[in-house]
Amino acid sequence: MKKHKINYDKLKRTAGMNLDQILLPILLVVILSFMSVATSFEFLSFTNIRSMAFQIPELGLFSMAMMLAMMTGGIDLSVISTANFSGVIMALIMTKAVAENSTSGYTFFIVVIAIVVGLVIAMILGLLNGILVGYIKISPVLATLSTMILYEGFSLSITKGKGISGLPNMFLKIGNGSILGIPLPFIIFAIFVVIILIIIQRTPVGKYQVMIGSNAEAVEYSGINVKKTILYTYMLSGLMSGIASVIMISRINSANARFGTSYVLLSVLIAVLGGTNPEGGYVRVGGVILALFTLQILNSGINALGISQFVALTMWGVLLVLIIIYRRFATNLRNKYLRENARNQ
Amino acid sequence: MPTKNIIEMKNINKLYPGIQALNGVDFIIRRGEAHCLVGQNGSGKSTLIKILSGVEKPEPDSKIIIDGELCNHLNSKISMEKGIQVIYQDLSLFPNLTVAENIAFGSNREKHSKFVNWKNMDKIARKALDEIGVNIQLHKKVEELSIAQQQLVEIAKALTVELKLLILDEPTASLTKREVNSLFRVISRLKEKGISILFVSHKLNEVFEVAEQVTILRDGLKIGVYSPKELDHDKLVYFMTNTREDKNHPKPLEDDADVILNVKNLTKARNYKDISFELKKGEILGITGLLGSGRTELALSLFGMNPPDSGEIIFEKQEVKWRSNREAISAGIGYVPEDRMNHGLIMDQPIIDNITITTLLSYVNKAGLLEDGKRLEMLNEMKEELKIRMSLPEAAVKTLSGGNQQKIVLAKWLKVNPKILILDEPTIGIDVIAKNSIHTLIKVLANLGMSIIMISSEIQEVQTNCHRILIMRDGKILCEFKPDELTEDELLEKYNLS
Repeated sequence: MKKHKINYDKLKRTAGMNLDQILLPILLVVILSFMSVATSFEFLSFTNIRSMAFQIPELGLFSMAMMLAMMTGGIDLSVISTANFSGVIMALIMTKAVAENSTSGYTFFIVVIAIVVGLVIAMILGLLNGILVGYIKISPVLATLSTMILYEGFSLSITKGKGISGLPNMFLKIGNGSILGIPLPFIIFAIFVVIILIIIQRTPVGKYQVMIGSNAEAVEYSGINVKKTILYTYMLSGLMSGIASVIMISRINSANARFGTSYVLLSVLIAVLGGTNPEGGYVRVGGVILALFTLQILNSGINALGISQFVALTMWGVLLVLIIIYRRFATNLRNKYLRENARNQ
Repeated sequence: MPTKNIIEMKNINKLYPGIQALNGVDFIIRRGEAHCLVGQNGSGKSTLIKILSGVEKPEPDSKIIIDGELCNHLNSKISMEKGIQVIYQDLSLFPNLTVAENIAFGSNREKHSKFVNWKNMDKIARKALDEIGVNIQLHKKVEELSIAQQQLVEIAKALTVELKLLILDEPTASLTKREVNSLFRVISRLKEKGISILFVSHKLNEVFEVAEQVTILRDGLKIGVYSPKELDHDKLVYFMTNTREDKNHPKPLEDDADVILNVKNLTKARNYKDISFELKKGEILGITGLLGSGRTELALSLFGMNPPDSGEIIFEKQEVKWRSNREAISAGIGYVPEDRMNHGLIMDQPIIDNITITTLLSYVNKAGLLEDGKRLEMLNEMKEELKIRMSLPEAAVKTLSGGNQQKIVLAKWLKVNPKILILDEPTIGIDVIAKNSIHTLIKVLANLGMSIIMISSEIQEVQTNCHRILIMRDGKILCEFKPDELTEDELLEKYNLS
């Protein structure tokens, strides 16, 4: 492959004008330093970092799922319901098929089957969202709000409101094990972040998704199958929910129809904070990751400092509003610069 | 003693990153004259105005003399104090305030008074309006006024402070003939008072009638100062663009050219009715008619996006019934939509992604991943070929000028290598030079064997660039003719198209 020479002048100009991109790293460092000093560096202890690394992946995967839908100008409010339904099915398969005295080979087989079925179900639920949004053209908020309730109804009618626990030990390792000290959930999360990054930046479908978010009509005029692309997007979003579900039920050794409902709005918040345009057409995976870490650190720090959760909520709100205002100015400035640059060529 | 020249700018240079926007420009405006500054987009005329109004700083070796006084450190406040006022095309009035409030706003602020003196405000506004001989109700809200009246209010506003030079950016762009005349009456009153006027424009228009001198800029250089009498449309275009308007007709078709498309009795309710025509290989077929004549609907049907109710489309000797534009595209049809902003381009997305959207799958390697190097190569190739002026490939396509945007749309369709390219208003809202190059390109493409359907409301455009022309009205084809059979005026008259 041909190597492209780096144009430092260009690089400097772009970075210099991209005020938006530098905000989150700075914010992360500021919050991290503040928390570290305020807790006299207990915050940076191995135990604390490890505990954060176990908490991040679930919310992270939900945020990715949300980000994918938002990228195409939509939203997926059913991410948690999808995860819970797929979790309930997985737990059901495992608890029914695996007994105390099952051989490890058999257990492994069942665990794999359960995970595959769970992920396929998550994708089917995503497909249904995609049909509603892409083909029947229901507004994404309305469509996924309805399916959010529908999917929760599915789960509730199976569990009757009770949790399903007692999953095989082998399965529990996924949510609680580590490799070389790195929590397994975190490794899984990292792998899927890379996959999403590649899809968005290096595949035609990823490009179509982002462009559909800006102007679906113009994409249609260019001969791209917009409906199919939207369908695909929601299926991918469903898959992310399914993986989050695997991690979630194995970490807490239980599946329930109503786990983690607060994650819905939190994942919207993180996606937007990370630079995803809620109207579609602009996404930055790195930004979403930074936002995720920032909020997790803020949250853990507030816990460590013994500040009430109500205050924490207020602080999150303030942060979100400030970042959105800042971003507005930064984008305007950048567009102005680019326009002048083009005019003067 | 007052000097003869109100403005003397000498050796004005301005550098933007990588670009010399102004290159040693000398610019003089005499006291009490109306002066025209013309140039295309990117010629440096806006930069010059920005320097004069103190918004941008020139390079250190530049010299600006205002009213006989050397001004080395001009900023917008000093520029205003020196009596320079700019009225931009998008007026800067407060639409929800009254005429009087808008006019007197500046002078009120000047005195740093915390309270509004309503009586005084009316007095100031009345006086300013009287000075230009205009009668507009003082207590009407500005949003209730016509654009022309708003412009006059802004001129009156400029008069409330000491005014020596009034700069008007494209002042006649959205005015009717009558409104232009009343603007000119105001201009001549201002001139009598010794106030100089500078019109900024990118084309030949009415302002030349009242200007004493015309300065032409091109690519940051001053081309010259002329009297309006010396200039006509063709000459001005030549000075501004260094090219002559392409008035070449396309090469005549070979007699034995194959018919590539045959449309028979195509009908779609409420769109068009009983449309029949044929298109030969390498032919440029013009379709003209007023908006709402059904031409765009017809084009969309040929592009697979608007299935007809009845009739036949025979493409390469086979009847086709395309269910989507994807089928039409893979058969060899390209369509450049009329609405560039909403259908042609994805304005917020990068140039590179816009130009490669139709061919994205061909830049994929074995692993299914996009080769960005190849995409950049394609962009650079098209940039060379179509002379696209752009900054970074990652810049949003909306940062380009209209002409360059349209070239991106053309490029994305040319890469598909269509057999028939349908162009719906291909040169709407773009400057002469881009228009020219698009016309030339169309003829080259036809010569290479591409068939082209060119839809345009501009009769002159289809007359110069097409082999054959269809006129549509109310969804029907009225008649077909060759460009040399009728003149534009005869056409307009005969078919009542204006």
